Amino acid sequence: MSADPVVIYRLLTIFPVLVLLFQSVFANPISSEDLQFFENKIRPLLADHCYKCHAASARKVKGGLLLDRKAGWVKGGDSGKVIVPGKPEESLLILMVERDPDHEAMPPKTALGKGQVEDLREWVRRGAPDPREEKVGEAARGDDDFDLEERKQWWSLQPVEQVAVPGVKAGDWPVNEVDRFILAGLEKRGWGPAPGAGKERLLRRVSLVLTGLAPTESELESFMADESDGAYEKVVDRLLGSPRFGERWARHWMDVVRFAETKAFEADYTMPYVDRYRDYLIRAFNSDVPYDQFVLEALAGDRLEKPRLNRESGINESVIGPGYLYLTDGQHGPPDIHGDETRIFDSMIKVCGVAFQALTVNCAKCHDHKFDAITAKDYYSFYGMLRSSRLHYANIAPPEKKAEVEARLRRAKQELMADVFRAVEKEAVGIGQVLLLIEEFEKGVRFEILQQKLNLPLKKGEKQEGRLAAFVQESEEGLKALASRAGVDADLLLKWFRWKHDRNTPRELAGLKSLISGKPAAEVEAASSRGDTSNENYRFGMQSDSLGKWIASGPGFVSADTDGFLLSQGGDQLLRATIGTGVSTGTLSSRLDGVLRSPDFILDGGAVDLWVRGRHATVRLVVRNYELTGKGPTTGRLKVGVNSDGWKKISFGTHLWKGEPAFLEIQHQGSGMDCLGRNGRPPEPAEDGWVAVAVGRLPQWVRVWGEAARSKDRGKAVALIISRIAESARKGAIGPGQREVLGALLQSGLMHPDLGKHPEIRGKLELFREIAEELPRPVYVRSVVDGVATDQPVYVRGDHRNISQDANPRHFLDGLGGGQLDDGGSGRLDWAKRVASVDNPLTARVRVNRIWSRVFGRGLLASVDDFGKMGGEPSHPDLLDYLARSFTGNGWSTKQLVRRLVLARTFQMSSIPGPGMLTADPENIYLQRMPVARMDAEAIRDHILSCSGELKRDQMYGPSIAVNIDDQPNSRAKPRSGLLNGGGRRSVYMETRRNFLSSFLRAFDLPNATEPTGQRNITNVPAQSLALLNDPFVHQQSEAWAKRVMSGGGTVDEQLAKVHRQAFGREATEAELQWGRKVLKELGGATEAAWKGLCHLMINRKEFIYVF
Amino acid sequence: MSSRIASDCGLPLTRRHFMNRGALGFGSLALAGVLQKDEVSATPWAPKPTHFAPRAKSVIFFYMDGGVSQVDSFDPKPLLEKENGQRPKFKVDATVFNNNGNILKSPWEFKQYGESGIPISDLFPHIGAHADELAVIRSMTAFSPNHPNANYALHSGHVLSGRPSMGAWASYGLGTEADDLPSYVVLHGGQVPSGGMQMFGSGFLPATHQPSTFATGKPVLSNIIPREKELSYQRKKLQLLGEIDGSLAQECEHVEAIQSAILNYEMAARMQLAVPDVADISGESEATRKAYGLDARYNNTRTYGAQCLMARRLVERGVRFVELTINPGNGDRWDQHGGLRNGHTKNALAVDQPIGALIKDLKGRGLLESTLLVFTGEFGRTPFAQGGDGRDHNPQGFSLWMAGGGIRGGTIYGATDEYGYRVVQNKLTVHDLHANMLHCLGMDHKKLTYRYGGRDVRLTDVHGELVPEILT
Repeated sequence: MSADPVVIYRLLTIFPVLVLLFQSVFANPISSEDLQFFENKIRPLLADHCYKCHAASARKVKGGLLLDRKAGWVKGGDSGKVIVPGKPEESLLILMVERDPDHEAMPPKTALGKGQVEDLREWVRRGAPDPREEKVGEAARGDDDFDLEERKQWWSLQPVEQVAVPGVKAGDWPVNEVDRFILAGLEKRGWGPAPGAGKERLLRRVSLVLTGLAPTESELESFMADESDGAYEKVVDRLLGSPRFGERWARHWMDVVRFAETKAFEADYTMPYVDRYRDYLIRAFNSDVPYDQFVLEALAGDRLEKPRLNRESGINESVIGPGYLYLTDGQHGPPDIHGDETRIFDSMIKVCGVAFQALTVNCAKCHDHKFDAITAKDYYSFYGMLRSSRLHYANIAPPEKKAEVEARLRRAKQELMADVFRAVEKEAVGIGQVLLLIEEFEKGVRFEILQQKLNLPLKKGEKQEGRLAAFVQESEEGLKALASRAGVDADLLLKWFRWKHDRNTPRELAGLKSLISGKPAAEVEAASSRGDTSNENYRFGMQSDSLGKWIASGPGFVSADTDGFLLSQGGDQLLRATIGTGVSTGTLSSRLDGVLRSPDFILDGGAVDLWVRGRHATVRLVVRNYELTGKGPTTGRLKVGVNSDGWKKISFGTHLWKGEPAFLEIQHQGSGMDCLGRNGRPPEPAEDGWVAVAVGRLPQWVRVWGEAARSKDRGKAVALIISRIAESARKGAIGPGQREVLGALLQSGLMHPDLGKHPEIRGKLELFREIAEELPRPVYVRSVVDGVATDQPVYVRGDHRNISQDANPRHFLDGLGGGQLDDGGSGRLDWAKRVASVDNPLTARVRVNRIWSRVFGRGLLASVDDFGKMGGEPSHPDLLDYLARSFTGNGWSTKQLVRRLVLARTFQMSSIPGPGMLTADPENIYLQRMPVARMDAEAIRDHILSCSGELKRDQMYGPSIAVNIDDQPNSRAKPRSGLLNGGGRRSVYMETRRNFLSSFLRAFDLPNATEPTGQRNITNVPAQSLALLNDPFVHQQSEAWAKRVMSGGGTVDEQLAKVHRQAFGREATEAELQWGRKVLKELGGATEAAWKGLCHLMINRKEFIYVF
Repeated sequence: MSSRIASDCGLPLTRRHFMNRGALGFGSLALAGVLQKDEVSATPWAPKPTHFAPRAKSVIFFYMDGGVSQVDSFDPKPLLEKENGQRPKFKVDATVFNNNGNILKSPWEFKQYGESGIPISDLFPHIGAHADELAVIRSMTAFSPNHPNANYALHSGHVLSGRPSMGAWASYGLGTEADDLPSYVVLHGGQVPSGGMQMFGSGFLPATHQPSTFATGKPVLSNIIPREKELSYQRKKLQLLGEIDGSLAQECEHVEAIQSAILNYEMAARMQLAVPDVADISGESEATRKAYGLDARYNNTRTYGAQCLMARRLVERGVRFVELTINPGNGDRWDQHGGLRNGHTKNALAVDQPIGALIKDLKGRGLLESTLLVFTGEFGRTPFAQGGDGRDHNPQGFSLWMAGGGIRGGTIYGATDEYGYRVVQNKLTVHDLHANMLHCLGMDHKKLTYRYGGRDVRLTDVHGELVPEILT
C-alpha cells in the first residue's frame, strides 16, 4: 500500500498536540510556587484584560479563543495555538500583548503595562502552569450553529415545481396563464381586476417598458388607427424587434453587474474597451441569446468549446461574456497587494452571487453565512476560481476568417522566402570579388583624401549621414569604373562600400565588419560575440523545458510559423525584423497577435529577468492578478514597454512583494491594453507590432565569421558562408544565430534582393501583402483566461494573513448540491454549467423574477437580488415556478417571456385602484391594478431629447459619449467635459465614470456603479425639481423643442396638440389647450421665448416623467 | 367636467377648498387635498424622533483632508527632539512610498492652554484658545494607509467607495429642522479629496440623503439659480405649472409619488430663495467678518472663514450635518510628504483662525451646546521623516478633537507610544468615532439601520463603542 502523503502530513501535525495534551493533563502537577504565581499574577490579569472577549461568559467569544480555562489556550483559537509552553518568543499570545507589529495587538484598545507583559512571559517561560482543569470538551464550545441541511430547506433552494394553472371564476378575463394566476390571487381575496387602460396609456407604457422610449407621434397615430384585434400584439412585436429593445434591457443588466468604465479612487483610471462589453449586451438582448447560453458566456465565455460567433460579422461573441468581472474599482500601488486582491475579488464574488443566483455569497467571507446555506468554503471556492483565472484582452476578430487567411498567408510566405533565399545564395557568389574590388579602390590616393574628409569632426548642425552620402557620391565614379572593368554589379559594390564606412552597424554584423576591415581573427570573434550576455543563464529566462507550462493565448505565439523573419507590409524593404532564438508573435502578421503568460510562481524577493525584443509590446510582472500593474509609485515598475529590434534585458525588482504569487505576462499589442488616463480609448492596434522572448540562451554569432577570419581568401570565405546560410534557410535547417545574421544582411541591404531585378520575388511579396491585408484587424475586448488551477483555503475570519490549514478544493455551492469542479482548468466552466442548468433551482427563478420586476415594477419576490432568508418569500410562488418552467421550456428566451408578460391582460389594466384597494393592498402586491411608475433617469433624458428632436435614435454602439460635467468641481482626475446634449445619443451610451457620473442622471437615481443593483431606488427629492427647472440641459432642449414646434407650422392649437402628443403620447384635452393658450399669452404671445417657456413647463409637468 | 386624465388615472373628483399655504402658492393650489391628509410626510426631510434625548442637533465636521501630523499638533512627543536625526529604534511598517528616513522632531513649540492645560502646538493658537471646550483624542487609528481608503473609512466606516457617509446617515436618521434647506451640506472649499466627491455620498441610502454641495463661488449650489432672466418670470411659469399639475394631483390622489413630486417644487422654490440667502453674508457685522478672518491677508483664510461663517448660518437654520472641505492652494492638502513646515503652516493658517472664531461665535449665540464639532484627518503622519523634511502616512495612531454638544471639554483621551507612532492606550477606530457622534445626536448606533443586500446595515458595521470619558 502506498502511503498517502496528505494523511502523513496530518498525523505529523496532530502528533505534537497529542503529546502536549498528555503532558499537561496528566504529567505535570503544579508546584505550589507556580500555583501562587498563577493565582497572584496571571489569573487576575487574564480576568481583567482578557475575559471580556475570551471567556465562556463573554457576550461574544472573539477569535474562537477561550482564556478562562486551561483547555481554552491549549486548543487555541481561529489563528491556531496561542501559547507554546516554555517558549514565550514563539507564543502568539505574547507577541500580541507585546504589540508586535506583525500581529494583531491585544488587548485591542489599551496595551498591558510592561510589568504585566513580563509576568505573562514569565508564566509561559515556566511552562504556563495552569490549575484551571476543565473538561477538554467544554473548550470546544463554539458559535458553530451552522446547519447546512436545515438551511437547505429554504423555499428558493427547492426544485422548481411543476404547477397547475389555477381555475378562476371570471373565466373570460384572462388572456393567458399569467392572468389566471393573478386573477386567482385576487379572487381569493374577494377583489376584482381594474378595467383596461386606454389605448394611448397602454402604448406609452409598453413602449417605455420594452424600449425605454415613449412612442413617437407616428407610432401613436398608426396604433390609434389600427382597430383590428391584433393591433396591440403587432405593437408588441414591433417593439420586441426594435434595436431599442436591446439598448433598454442591456442597461438593466449593466446595473446588475455594476457596470462602469473607470476605477474610481484617486485617479479614476479608464478601463479600455468597456464599451464593447456594453455593445455585446445590446446585441445579446436584441438577438435574444438564450439565457443559459448567456450565463455560460458570462462565467466561462473564454472556455466554450464552440464559441458563439456573430452571424453577421463572424466575431467571437462568447469571449466577451466575462467582460464585467474586472469592472471593479482599483487603486494604484497598494501597500498590501494581497489585501487589495481580497477587496477586488470580493466585488466579483458579490456580483456573480447576486446576478445569477441572487445569493449574497459575499456575506460568507468572514464566516459561514448568517442566514443562508452558504459556507465560507463556498466563498473561497469562488475565490480560488478567480485566483485560477486572469484578466485578458481577447481579440474577437472573426476566428474562422483569421484561420483561413492565416493558412494561405503561411504558404505565400514559404514560397516567397524560398525565392529570397535562392536569390541570396546566387548573389553571394559575387561577394568575394566585390570585397576585393573595394580593397583595391581603397588603396588609391584619392580614397585617402576622401576618407580624411569623412573623418573630420562634424560641424555644428552637420549630420554623419550627409557626410557619408557625400563620401559615397565622390567615390562612385571610381567604384563604377572598377565594377564595369571586372564585370561586377556596380550597385552591389556601392552598397557594400557604403556599409563598410557607415558607423552604424547592427550588432549581428559587427563581426563581419571587423572581418572585411582586415582585423585579426581574435578581434573578429570578439566583435561577433554578444560579450558577457551571450552566456548568461538568466534567472527567469524561459528554459525550453519549462516553456510547455507557459500559457499562450491568441494565434501569435501558438502559430507554428517559426522561420523567425518578420516581413514588412509596405515598401521595397522585405524584412521588418528578425527573431533569433525564442518564441514570438508577428512572424506572419501583426494582426495575428498573442499573449504569453508564465505559470504562477512565488516571488522570493530577488530580481526576475528575461530577454525580449519587439515593438508595441509590453512585459508585466503581475502580482496577485493586480490589474493596475504599471501604475502607481511601486507597482508602476512592474510593467515595461518593449520597443527595440535588438534583445533587451528586463529585470523586475520584487522585494516589496516577497512571498506573493505572480506571473509574467508578455503582451503583443500591450501598449494600449492598460488602464489609461482620463480620456479616451487605446490607440488602434499597431500594424507593425511583434514581440519575442528569448528561450534558453541567446544565439551565438561568434562561429559565423570566426571561420572566415582564419581563411586565406576572406572574400571567398564570406561569400561561401553567406550562401551556405541562405541554403540552410531555404531548407529550413537554419540555426538561431545564423538566422539573426541572415536577417541583418537582408535588413541592412547588403544581401537584399533587388526587387527590380527579381520580378518573381516582387510578385510573391505583393501577393503576401495582399493576403495579409485580408486578415481582420484585431478588435480587443476585456475577458479572462485560465491560469494555473489553484485552490484557496479559507481566510480565517476573512483575514488574508490568517489562512486556514484545511484544504478547500474548488467546488460548487454546497447549498446547491456542492460537488468538485473538474473542468481541467479554473473550474469556471463547471460552475457555469451548474448555474446554467434547468436543475438549478435559482437560475430561472431569479431571471424570471428580474424580468417580471422590470415589467411590473416589483418582483414576484420583491428582493430581486436576494433569494436568501432575508429576501423573504414571493407573493405568487406558483406563478414564479410556472414562469420559470416555461422559461426554460421555451429555450430560455427572454423575448418570449417579456412578450407573454406584456400581452397578459394584467399588464393592460388601468392604474386606478379599485374602491378600498388603497387600504386593502397599498403596495399593490397582488396587482389589482398596474402601478404608476416614474421613468428612470435614462428614459427621462432620452425622452427630453426625443421631444426636442435631437435624439439620434438609430445611432448605436461605439466609444462612450463624454458626460457634461461642467457643474462638478475641478480636480486632478477630472476629464474633459462633454456636450450638454451628449451629441443626442441615448443615455445608455453615456460614459460611466465612477468619479464623474452625470449629475442630471444621478438626481434621478442612476446607481453609483459600485454595487450590483437589480432594483434602483426611486427617490422623489427637490434636487429633481431643481434639475428640471434650472439645469442648462433642460433649458437647451426646451429651446430646441420650441424651434421644432414653430418650424412645423400649423395653428397654435395644432401646435399645442402636437406638443402634448410628443410629451405624453396622447391627445390634449380641451382644458389643456386652454392652458396652453394661456401659457403662451402670459409668457409673451406665440414667440419663440414663450414657446420655450411652454416646452419647459411641459418637461416639468409630472406626467412627463410618470407612466400611468 | 371630467378630463381625459381623470378618466385614465383619477378618482371621481371631490370638491375641496384650496388652502393657500406655502411660499409661492403654486404647489399648494395643487395640493390642497394632500396637505389636509398629512402635512409632515409631505417634506422629504421631515425631522424624525431620536432614540433618546440628543445633546446636539447639528454637526459641523472639519475634514482635514490629507492627514494632520499628530506629533505636530495635539500629541507632543519630547523624545523626538532628543532622537532627532537618528534611525528609528522601533519597527517601521511598510508605507506607501517606502522611503522612510530618520526621526524628525516637530518644528513647532507646544503650549498648554486653558484651565485644562491641554498642550497644543503653535499651529493652532486660535483653536488653543478654546482648549477647555475640546476633547482631544490621541488614540485614533485608521483602517488604511492610503488616502482613498482611509477617506472612505472616515466617512462611511468602510474602506470601499459607495457606502453611505456619516452625513447621509445623520440625515437619514434625523431628517432636518429646516424646511427650505437640505439636511446635509458639504461646504466645498475646492480641494477634491483623493477618492472623489462620492465619499460624501449617500451610497445605498435613498438619494434624499445625498449631500448638497455648496461651492465657495457662485452659484453656491448647482441648479439653484433660475435661468429665467427675472425671478418673476419663473414665478409666473411655476404658477402656470401649478395650475395644470393641480388637476393631475387631484385626479391622481392615489399616487403619493406625484403629490410629493409636486411638493418638491415648493421646496425647490423655497431653496432657490433660502440657499442664496444663507450664502449671503453681507448682513454680518464687521466685527464678525473680521473675527472669521474674512479680511485676512492669506486668501485661504478668507475662503475657509467664509465657509465657517456659512456653517454657522446653516446650523442656525436647522441643517443637520455640515462638512467642510479645505481649500486648494496650500501647496497640498495636509499631505506633507515633503516640506512639512511650509505645508502644515499654510494649512493651519487657513483653518485655525476661522475655526477659533466659529467656536466663539457659536458659544456667544448659545449654539455651541447644540452643535457637535469634529476636527480630524483620515490618518496621521509618521514621526520619522520621509525624504528630508516630510512625513508619510500613519494609520496606527493620530489625534482628533471634538467639541460642543455632548462633549466633555478639557479632556485628553488615549495615548500613543513615546514616539507618537502607535496607539498604546484606548485605541479607537472610525467606528467608535461614528458611534459617539451618533450618540451625541441622540441616536443609538446599533439601532440606526437600513435594510440593504439582505442585511440591516449600520454605519458602524458590527463595531463601535461609546467613550464615556469624553461624553457629558
